[in-house]
Amino acid sequence: MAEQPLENKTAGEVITLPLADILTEEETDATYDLILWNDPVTLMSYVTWVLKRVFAYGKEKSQRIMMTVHTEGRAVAWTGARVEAEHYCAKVHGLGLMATVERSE
Amino acid sequence: MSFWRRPQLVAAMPDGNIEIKLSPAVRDLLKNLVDEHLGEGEAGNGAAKLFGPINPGVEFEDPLVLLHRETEISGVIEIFTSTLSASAISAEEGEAWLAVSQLLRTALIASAGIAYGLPHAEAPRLDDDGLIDALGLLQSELLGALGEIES
Repeated sequence: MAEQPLENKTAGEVITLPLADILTEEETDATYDLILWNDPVTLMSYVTWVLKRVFAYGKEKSQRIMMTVHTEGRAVAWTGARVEAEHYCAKVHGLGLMATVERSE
Repeated sequence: MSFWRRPQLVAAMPDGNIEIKLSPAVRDLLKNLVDEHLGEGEAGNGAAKLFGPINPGVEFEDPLVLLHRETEISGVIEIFTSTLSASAISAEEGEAWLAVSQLLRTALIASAGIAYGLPHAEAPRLDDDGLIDALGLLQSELLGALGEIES
């Protein structure tokens, strides 16, 4: 069904805008990394479990990312669109791990 | 010959649930820890404030993302507190217990001023922190039980 022009909308009607209309061209093209940060007490097995649970990664990939966090202090756990990265980060925080989102280099 | 065995805290049950073998005193302690470290408090936001900004590169954080984080955190805390006195919990509830144990450990290391992002070999150690160790033990056993149920 074709979308009605904005001027034909009635008060209170929900307006959905494509993300591309909200973000700048630069933002829609950019990719963002979800970074997992090391700390001295979190169980390695727990980090692996979170990676499997949140991103549905297999055991090997989860363990590889976990080991990078462990040995280097941080690792990119996921790369993609900004909004998705931020929501993944919210999920990871909900499971108690420190993570942030930053623009991919 | 006798062998010393550490008492088990949780165990996978044949029906796919997890038996919780914690004493009432330990359950009270966990409840107090949650109230103290993950409660709303005066500052609001509860445990969400442990993590700081999700995307430090933007001036304003997306309120929907912040709401998502708060919902995730309050969801697991609610499941945990509502099942804290149970003798057995489901695997899904076990995952919430796992998450809350981690949130408590995160709160405890935050109050000890531990910095994130150092490689393990260079990171400062928290020597003999009984609470952090005990919560780690609980997590380890929950992971074991969940793995057993999954397989």
